[in-house]
Amino acid sequence: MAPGPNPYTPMTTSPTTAANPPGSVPHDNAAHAPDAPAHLAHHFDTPQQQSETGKLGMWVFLATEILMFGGLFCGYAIYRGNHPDVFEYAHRFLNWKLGAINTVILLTSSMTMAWAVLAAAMGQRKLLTLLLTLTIGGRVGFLVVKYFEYSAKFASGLKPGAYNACYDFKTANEMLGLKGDDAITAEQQRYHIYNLDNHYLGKYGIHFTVPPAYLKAQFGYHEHHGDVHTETHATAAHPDVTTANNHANTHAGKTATTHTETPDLIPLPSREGLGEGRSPNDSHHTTTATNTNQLTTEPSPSPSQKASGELVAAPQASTTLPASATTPEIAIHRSSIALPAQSPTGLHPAVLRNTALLKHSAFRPHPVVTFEQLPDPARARVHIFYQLYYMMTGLHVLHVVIGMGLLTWVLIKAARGVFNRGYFNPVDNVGLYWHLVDLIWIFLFPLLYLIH
Amino acid sequence: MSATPTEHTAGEPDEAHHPHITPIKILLGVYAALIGLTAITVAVTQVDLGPLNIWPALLIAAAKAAVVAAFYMHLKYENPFFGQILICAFFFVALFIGIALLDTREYAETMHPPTLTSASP
Repeated sequence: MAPGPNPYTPMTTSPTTAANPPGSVPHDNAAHAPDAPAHLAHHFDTPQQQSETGKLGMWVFLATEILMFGGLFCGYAIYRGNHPDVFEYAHRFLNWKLGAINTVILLTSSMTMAWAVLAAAMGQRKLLTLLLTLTIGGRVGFLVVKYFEYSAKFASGLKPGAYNACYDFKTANEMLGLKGDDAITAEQQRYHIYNLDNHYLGKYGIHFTVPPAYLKAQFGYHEHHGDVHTETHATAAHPDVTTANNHANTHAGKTATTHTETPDLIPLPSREGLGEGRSPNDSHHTTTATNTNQLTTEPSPSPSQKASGELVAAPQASTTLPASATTPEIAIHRSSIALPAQSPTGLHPAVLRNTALLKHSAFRPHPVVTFEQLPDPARARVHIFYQLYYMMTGLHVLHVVIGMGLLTWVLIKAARGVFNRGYFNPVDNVGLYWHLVDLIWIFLFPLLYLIH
Repeated sequence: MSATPTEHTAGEPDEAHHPHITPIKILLGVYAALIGLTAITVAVTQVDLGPLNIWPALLIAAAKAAVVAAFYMHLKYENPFFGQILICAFFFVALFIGIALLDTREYAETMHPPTLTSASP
């Protein structure tokens, strides 16, 4: 633009009279043409550009609305995938006929809205007003039906409530088919998980120190076995590899004596096969044992720390680890963990495969609530379905109400004759919003009401 | 939308502002199609297809959505960019739900198959 006075000077004269007020910067004259519509904002060149820009903004907003409801649909998908029969059972309490009536009401309201946009484009003000009123009336009807539905449900106790999930997790033994002597106890699982935590996190320099009292409560350790648990993080501060050999054997001796006193614990693997990879410094056991409940982090793991990862896998270390077991090139990758040899009280090799799952399965006690365990009135309260139901339909109802507010605003403007053939952008955009609300209901109806 | 001014003159409100107006016949036809598809949805869900139960209803719902978007929301006659925005949004929702379901399947093996009756101890 040619340099000149501020191009954003507000128009002091009516755009329909002045083409180029003196002192203004020459630009496209659409906004100043004698027959330019009054609604054309100054920053747009043509009314078409203005309406398309408005529509673009509305479409981008609709995309965000789709994503918002998409989150709820994702929750629905996951819970229905996990509890298909719960959903099928619970939805019987929904009246699908009322849902179908609501669908028809919404579709009709959608049609009258599209017709209203048509009427606005044709400049038919009375028809536009009528159709907007009908659209709002349709929404009111929808809300009335919803009110009946919700009140009926609350009366019969179908509320979103406390019972969230009825997951019946398999135990590790069930998953792996371990029976009898092979079966691992819960305590063995806990110990194993604890060691794995330190192993996997140890790669990142995170080592847990656990107070002996806690260990005793959880794993049945005794205080004088404190060195057993500190082994898992003993290498935290010891990058000194050269002294490793001296300590390795001493350490092995210690572990050997430890395990004879706690036979129900998983025996720690012997150190002989590890070579120089380990550098536990015995003198540090006492100091680290005093660091209770601390999470120590290192900037980067040293080679000895990496080798400490073989803690759990070591019984076969002498056969599976390469001769260069002390080199830093050992990558402790989950798949490269050698499985321990099976012992009467040891871990089944297959357990290591599912360690991540073990953490979340039978490891934690959880009450399994089945329908047979629920008392009769509560049996009808399949809360997980209704939590989703109320969330999704409730959010949808909120959108309907907001749409009603917008439509009322547009209706008032239409009744006052603000819109004409050239300008009905608000009708258009509110229509887009309303059609999206209808779209969402089109998906909600079969997913919630028509599960068979 | 780009800021370049179009070549339309400002003096013709109808053509320049809305080159296309959906005729009432199309609107009513779409309405009839939507009601019909709703009836088909209800009918289809009475038939038990096992694990595929959800798909006919979803596909019909997608067809209804496409019809609403194309005609009621005027996408068929609009700047194609608007339709692309809509498709983009649906794609990301599908990606979201798809990957979340992959995760669900991962831990599904840790659970007993969900039943209404109590599982074996």
